Parts: sequence; C-alpha cells; structure tokens
Amino acid sequence: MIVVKGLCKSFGKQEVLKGIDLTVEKGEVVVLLGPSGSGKTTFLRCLNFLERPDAGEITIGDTHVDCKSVTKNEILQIRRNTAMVFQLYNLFKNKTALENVMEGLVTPRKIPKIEAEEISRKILKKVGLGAKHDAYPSQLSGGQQQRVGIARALALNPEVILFDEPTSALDPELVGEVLAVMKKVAKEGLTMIVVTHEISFARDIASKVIFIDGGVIVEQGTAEEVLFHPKEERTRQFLKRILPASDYSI
Amino acid sequence: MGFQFDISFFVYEIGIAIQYIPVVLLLSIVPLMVGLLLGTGIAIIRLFKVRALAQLFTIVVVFLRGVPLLLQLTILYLTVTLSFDSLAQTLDLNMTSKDISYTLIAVIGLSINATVYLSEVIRAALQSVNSGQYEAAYSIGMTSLQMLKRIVIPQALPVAIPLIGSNLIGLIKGSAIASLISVVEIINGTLFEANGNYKFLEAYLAAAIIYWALCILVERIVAFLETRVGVYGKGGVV
Ligand SMILES: Nc1ncnc2c1ncn2[C@@H]1O[C@H](COP(=O)(O)OP(=O)(O)O)[C@@H](O)[C@H]1O
Ligand SMILES: [Mg+2]
Repeated sequence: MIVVKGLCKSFGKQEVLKGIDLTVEKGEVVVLLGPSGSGKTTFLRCLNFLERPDAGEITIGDTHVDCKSVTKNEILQIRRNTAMVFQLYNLFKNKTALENVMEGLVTPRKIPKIEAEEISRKILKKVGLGAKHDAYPSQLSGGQQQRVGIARALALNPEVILFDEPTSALDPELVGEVLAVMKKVAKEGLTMIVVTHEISFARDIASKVIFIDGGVIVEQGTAEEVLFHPKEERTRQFLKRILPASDYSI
Repeated sequence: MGFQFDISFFVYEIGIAIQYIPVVLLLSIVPLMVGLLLGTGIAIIRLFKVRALAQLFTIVVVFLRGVPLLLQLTILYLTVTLSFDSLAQTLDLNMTSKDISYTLIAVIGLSINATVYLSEVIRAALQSVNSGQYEAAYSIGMTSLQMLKRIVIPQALPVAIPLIGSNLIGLIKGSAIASLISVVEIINGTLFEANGNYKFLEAYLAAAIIYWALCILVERIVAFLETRVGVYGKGGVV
C-alpha cells in the first residue's frame, strides 16, 4: 500500500506541488491526468526521490519516511521498493536488453547472475521480446525499448511501478504494443501509478482516475466518474481538449 | 664553405635521441596517470557540486589553465630551488638545492598540468552522458558509486579516450619544456652531442623525428582503443 500525505515541492519560488494526499491500495491502477506543467512528472519523481520533496510523508510498503528528515538509507530503501518507466525509456545504452533487465537485480540487490538472468529472460518473454535479448537499445524500435523499460521495472518486483507518459514519445502505430503489455501486467495485480493521456487505457484498466491541476488534486474517482461524469469545471474543460468529441458523448 | 647536412651525425643523433625515450615516457606517462587519478576525483567533486571543494577546484582549474606550461614549470622550479636551501637549513637537513632531482620537479609540474586538463576532459565526458541514464540508475536502486562504475564511466569512456590521447600527445611534446630546467631528456641529450661540432640542425631534427614517431605511436594506440570501447550495437558509438 502507498500513502502520501501533504507532499509539497517548489522549484525556487515556483510551487509545483501544493500538498498532495493520495492512498493507493495494493493492486490498484491509478491514472493521473492533468494539463502540461501541472506537476504530474514532479509528483512521480518525488515518490522515488529523483526529486527531493520539501515536505510531506511517504509510505511505500513497509518504508515510511518524513520528507523533511529523510536519510540516504531511507531514500535507497524507497527506490528499491519502487520502479519507474520513463517517457524517453532511458534504457542503459551500454547494455543489451537482457543486461538492462538484469542490472537492477545484480548490482543493487546482489542477486546471483545466473538467477538474475533466468528471471530476466522470463520477463523479457512476457513483454514479447524473447528474441531480442542481445540487442542494444540503439537496435530496438521505440516500442521495443519501452517494453524493455517495463521489463526492467517488472524484474525488480517492486511495491509499485511509476509510469510517466510511457507512450507519448512513441509513433502512433507503436503505442498499442506498449499499452497491451501495461494492461497485461495490470491484470496480474501489480500496483501502478500511470501518467497518461490514453483515455482508453484509463477507461479499461484504471481503478482510480485522478485529475491534477496547478499542483493540487482537483478531482478523483473511478474512471467512469472522472472521465464521463466530471463534477469540476476544470476537469470538464481539460477533458474537452483531450477527448475526441465522439468519445466524450458516449 | 656552403651548408652541409651531416647525415651520419644525424643518424648518430637519432641513436642518442632513442636512448632518451625512457626519460620522455617518464615525463609523460607518470603525469598522465597522476592526472587521470586526480583529474577524475576533481571532475566528480565538481560534477556532484561537493561543497567548498568544488568551488576551490573550479578556481584552481581556471587559474592554471590560463598559465602557459613553460611558466608553470619554471615558476615551480624557481620556487623549489630558491626556497629549498633556507628550508633545509631550518630543518637541519644535510642537503642543498643541488641535490633535488630536476626530473622530479618536471614530473610534478607536468602532473599538475595534466591534472588540470584531464579533470576538464573527464568532466566533459561524464557530462556527455544523458541525465536520463543517471535517473534510470537511481530509479533501480543503485548507489552513486555503482552508477558511476556500471553506467556512467562505460558510456563516458568512448568520449574520453580520444581526448585523453591528445592530452598524452600534449604531455609528450610538453616534456620538451623540461629541457629548460636542466632535465637531460631528448633535446638536451642530443644538443650536448652537438656542442663540439655545432651541428645543431642535425641534433634538433633527430629530436624532432623521435617526438614525431612517439606521437604517431600514441595516435595509433588511441585509434585501436577507440575501436574496442563503446560500440553498442550497429549504431556505433552512441
Ligand atoms: N528541475 C526543475 N527545475 C525547475 N522547474 C521545474 C523542474 N522540473 C519541473 N519544473 C517545473 O515544474 C512544473 C511542473 O512540471 P512537471 O512536473 O514536469 O509537469 P507535467 O509532468 O505535469 O507536465 C513546470 O512548470 C516545470 O517547468
Ligand atoms: Mg510530464
């Protein structure tokens, strides 16, 4: 389970997150929506301390931290309980697909190489890349790279996987293969927090949809509630911009 | 009597110059090693913005980069020799400035010079690694040290190697300046032979040929190393 309380983050004078509260139960898939610049990426990055929050409390699994007094060890602990899938994949360029997936097992977690390789091969197969073990990122398509990115996250067996617009850098014809993999792992009961504008994904998979604007949660509820019966005017305005008219009228 | 080039003396001087190659290697390889070690430390301190130290090194690097190697070496030489006698006296050492090895002073001076340049080379190479690589490394739970060793340095190496190679060539040529502080290396060694017959052109040319050969050799080695690191897939060095 993940509990976030009063998470705040400023860059200089700009307040980007103004006290975010969020509870995510085990196995939930939470979709975060919001206009560009509303703080979605910053929120995800705060959850694994790629960005240092100014204030607030974060509980992930059995690790509880107060952001004001967090220690190096606690940060490492939180990072080892979370995994992230990046918008631009960020695969390790000097490693093959298989090595990318193994790295988080072998180096930080000290799992023996043979065991790590076995786990990683299985996971690459699951994301449909069983034949691409030895390919370097530069030899893979965007969709394939992102699937390796998901495999790398899955291998860590984390409490939660954070997805930051995982399909927005992809050519349209490659979006489907990545979404399909995400749906598959969601159905296996993984806890996921996903920033995405793929409404079909949110509608089919999300157990909760959250609309963020200006660094605060404006509205949250089931996909049905937030996407198709939004209560707040700001949510409605936003959805009007991203949804094709036909979708919205359903 | 017109100008006559003495081929046999020239060949003889080449032989002399070859004998001094070990001195040139001492004056260039040792500074290279010291420079790589200390330069990496300084680059990492500056990159991770370690308090106080980072600013100190930034100032030192900017200052030393702006002073010609010739001046760095002679200032170091004069400081050491001029202050040594009084220092030895106060410490009651039975030594004078005559006992200091000029080669050691040259090695120290060239090492400082190499450290300054290589710290910049290594900083540039580390910065050439995209920040997304750092973030991905942290996100899977690596420590900073693990990240440097497994992800950043392997990717920075292909960028750094050609630059380190040209720095080594600079050091080989820069070692000639040690001749000005009485170190007997290729130039002083060959000139000494020409003192009796004034055939300095032959002496200088012989020295030049050996420097040239050394630099070509380094270039070849670097080119070979470049083919060995950082070919990540058919995209080549990425
Ligand atoms: N490292 C940073 N330094 C300064 N400002 C930043 C930084 N990261 C994000 N911001 C600012 O914070 C705001 C929120 O950014 P972000 O979280 O990326 O939004 P979103 O992902 O919702 O588009 C933006 O105004 C952005 O310019
Ligand atoms: Mg974003």
